[in-house]
Amino acid sequence: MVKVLKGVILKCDSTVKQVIYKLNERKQIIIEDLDDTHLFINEKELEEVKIEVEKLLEENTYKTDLPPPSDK
Amino acid sequence: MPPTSKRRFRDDDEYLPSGPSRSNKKSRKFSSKKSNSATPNIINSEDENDLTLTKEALIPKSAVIDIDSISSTLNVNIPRDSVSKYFGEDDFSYIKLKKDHANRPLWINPNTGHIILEGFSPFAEKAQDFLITISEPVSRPSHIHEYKLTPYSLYAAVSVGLETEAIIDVLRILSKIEIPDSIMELIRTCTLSYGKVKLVLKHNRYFVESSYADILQKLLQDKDIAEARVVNSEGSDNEGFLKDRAPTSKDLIISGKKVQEKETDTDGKSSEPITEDDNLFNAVVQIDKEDEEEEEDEVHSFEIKSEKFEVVKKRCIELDYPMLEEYDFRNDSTLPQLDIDLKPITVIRPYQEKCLSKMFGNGRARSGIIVLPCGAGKTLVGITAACTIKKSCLVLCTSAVSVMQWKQQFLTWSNIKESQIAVFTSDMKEKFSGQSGIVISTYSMVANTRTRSYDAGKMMEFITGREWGFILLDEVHVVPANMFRKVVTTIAAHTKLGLTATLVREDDKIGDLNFLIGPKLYEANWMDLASKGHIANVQCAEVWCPMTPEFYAQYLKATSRKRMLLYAMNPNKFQACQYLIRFHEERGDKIIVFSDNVYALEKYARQLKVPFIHGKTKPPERMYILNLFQHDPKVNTIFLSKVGDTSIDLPEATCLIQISSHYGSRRQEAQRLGRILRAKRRNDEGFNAFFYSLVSTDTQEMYYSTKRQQFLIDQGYAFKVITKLEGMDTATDLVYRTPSEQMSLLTEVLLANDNDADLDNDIESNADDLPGVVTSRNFTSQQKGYGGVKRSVGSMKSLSGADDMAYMELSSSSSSPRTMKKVDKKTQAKDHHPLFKKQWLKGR
Repeated sequence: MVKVLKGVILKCDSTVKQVIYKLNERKQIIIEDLDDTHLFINEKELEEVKIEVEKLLEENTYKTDLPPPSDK
Repeated sequence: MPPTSKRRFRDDDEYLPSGPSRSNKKSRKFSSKKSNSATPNIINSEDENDLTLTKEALIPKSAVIDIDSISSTLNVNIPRDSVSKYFGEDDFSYIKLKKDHANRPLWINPNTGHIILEGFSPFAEKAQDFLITISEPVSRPSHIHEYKLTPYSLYAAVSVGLETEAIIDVLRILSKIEIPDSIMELIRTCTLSYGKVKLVLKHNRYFVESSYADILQKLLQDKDIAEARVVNSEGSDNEGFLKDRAPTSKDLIISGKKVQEKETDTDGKSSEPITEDDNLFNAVVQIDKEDEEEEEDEVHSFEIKSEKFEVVKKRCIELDYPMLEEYDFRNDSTLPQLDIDLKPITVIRPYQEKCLSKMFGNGRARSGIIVLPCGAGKTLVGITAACTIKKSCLVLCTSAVSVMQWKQQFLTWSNIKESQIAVFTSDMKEKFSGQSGIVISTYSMVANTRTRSYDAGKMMEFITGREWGFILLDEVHVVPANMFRKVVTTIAAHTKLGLTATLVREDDKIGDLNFLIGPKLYEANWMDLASKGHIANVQCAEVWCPMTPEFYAQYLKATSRKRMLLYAMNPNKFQACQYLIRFHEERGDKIIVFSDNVYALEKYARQLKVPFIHGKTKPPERMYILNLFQHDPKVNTIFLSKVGDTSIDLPEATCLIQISSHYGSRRQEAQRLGRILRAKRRNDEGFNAFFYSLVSTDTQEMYYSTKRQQFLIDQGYAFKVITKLEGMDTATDLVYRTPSEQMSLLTEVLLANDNDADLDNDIESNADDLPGVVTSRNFTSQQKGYGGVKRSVGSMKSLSGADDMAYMELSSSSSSPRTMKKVDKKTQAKDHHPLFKKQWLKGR
């Protein structure tokens, strides 16, 4: 039987690709690994991938605790 | 704590990874309290206030005034316009600018007490001098400076002799807007009671001194203070107050009037006889004084029993009149003079003179803290102060190594004889010969509460049994508050001077310092010193090294400890490091490479064939390597672990590369920068020192790196981000170029013991060292009182208790990080595998 999957081509740097591979362990996301910076992924998972990647990058960003000074 | 101080120690989880995904138990414990304090930290800090206040009433009430509480009551009716909502609380459009605002350099935020200075204004320099006395510098880049008014800073301002009205007047002149009521109120409340009462030690007696007799009267109503008072001292007026000339010259107070007023509110308890004679005597004294020097200020004082001065001091703080301590060292006859002077060739720099003039402003010695950047000659300031006071002096530093350095510095800069300097560490217990001298020791030696060896006990008796004219506290910011209190209370010293480069503390106790030692007397502007050539100009850069896909894949899987190793060993970083070393060696720079991680350090150094020093390098070898670096033109690079952070002085170094660092420690970053600030070649035309931080992208290191830079950024340094090193791709014979080499490196790293990733197994903590000094990871847990396990070869004699050896009992339930680790291992072994576990249990 023919199964149809809708996919998206994702261009990313190599680290993000590793992140997605990590996610792929839990859930089938990657349909095809195209090359170093391109992946073909399942469209349904697109939102989740976005969220996860965002979360990871956020983690490594330092923000000052102070609210931005008002009069600068 | 007031909101101000939050800036300084907002990150007490500095050493711990934060964020939800970390599994580190310690971080949970510590960051849970703080990590969510991004905005609601006011609530947090108030909780802590209550705690600190109930625990130790050493901080006066007004010190914890929150400016928010003042301002919130004041601005209720603010006209809002259509865009106000975008600014929220920070909409200040209602404030009217003065007509000639363009000429005035200051903006004042009525809500938070922040002051913004336009650094480009022609008045900026003058305004800066003023602002530095009345407020805390928050951030000082080149064009716009940010300061903040805090109760502490105002306290400091008052203590150097500024008066409330003077502060307000100057502020009014400089400000673009009318001074908001909330700021006025803050200044008034904070300066009202501060600095009005002084505890003066002269002629070896303690006097409570004030130019306001009514304040003394008020203090005397307190039972404890009244009890401590020495009543029948000579020359007292009818209230028993001694009158004297103030050390500074200001307009005369007609004290006669005040005496009259005072009589009305005399409390029943005061029993001193009011006689005509006294009045007469006063009158005579009065005339004498007026004859002698007309311009001098009148001060009133009463004597207190010297054994009660602690009590009085405490009561005064509780009554919200914290006393400033002054020491009239020139009139002190009991303490023997110390024959010490700066050598004629010693020249002090203008800013050092400025610090000292703040300290000896009125001919007496004031206690306080001086903040100077690393490499700007803090030691010399301390020595000059000691030479001015010329009394016995106790110097406390953080480690045995710096003890020796201080001794060396004393010998270099001053004419003191070597026999007069004594060193007190766990290895050496010397006493100076003669009546007076200098003792150099460490905080932990002095604050130690555990049983000591006989020698050490004797030495402590020697120290506590005498009075010290001067106590110098090096690196004050690292000393835990309780240890501090101990030192300050056990040692009778007349003047205390704290020295530090980074007034940043990892615990919440920086405010305490103000009241344990004294206010901050001076804080230097790094950029200023750099532009005047006292410290080197530094170009800071953060170099981004992308993780290779293989390393990153492993990084995602690894535990947080292994991660550290992975991002330190990133092949791209390796190459960047090699490339930078090569580049700068060709330019003729001397390079220090710092790595906190010893595994990475050795790996890098061996691969690149460069000498390295870490905690386990033996002293002779260290000396040899350092010598090579200094004198051999072929050795231009060395690798140092964090042993090099503080105790190694290499003025040859002009370039610094950092490959692995201690989490987010801002202090370490500043200290490391300090290594190249004193570069010998700094006065060469167009000379720049270089400071590189190599960071693996998309890892925790990015987070830490940004955090670490905050302190330096506040001092006005700019970090350039280099995403790609020019020419690195084309450079030949860099290491780990091929994927196969990279893979073998990766396997090596993965096989490496977990412990190799640890940062704190490098330096064996010396018994004398403070746990926090070497920026060890267990800084936060230092209250436990011991610095960790130490392995050393010992003779039978020493193992059985001689030579200061002490054993400690460690129960397995102890929560010290060291034992925790052991327990961890055991449990790991237990649940190694279900099968083994089963067998293991059976076998049991």
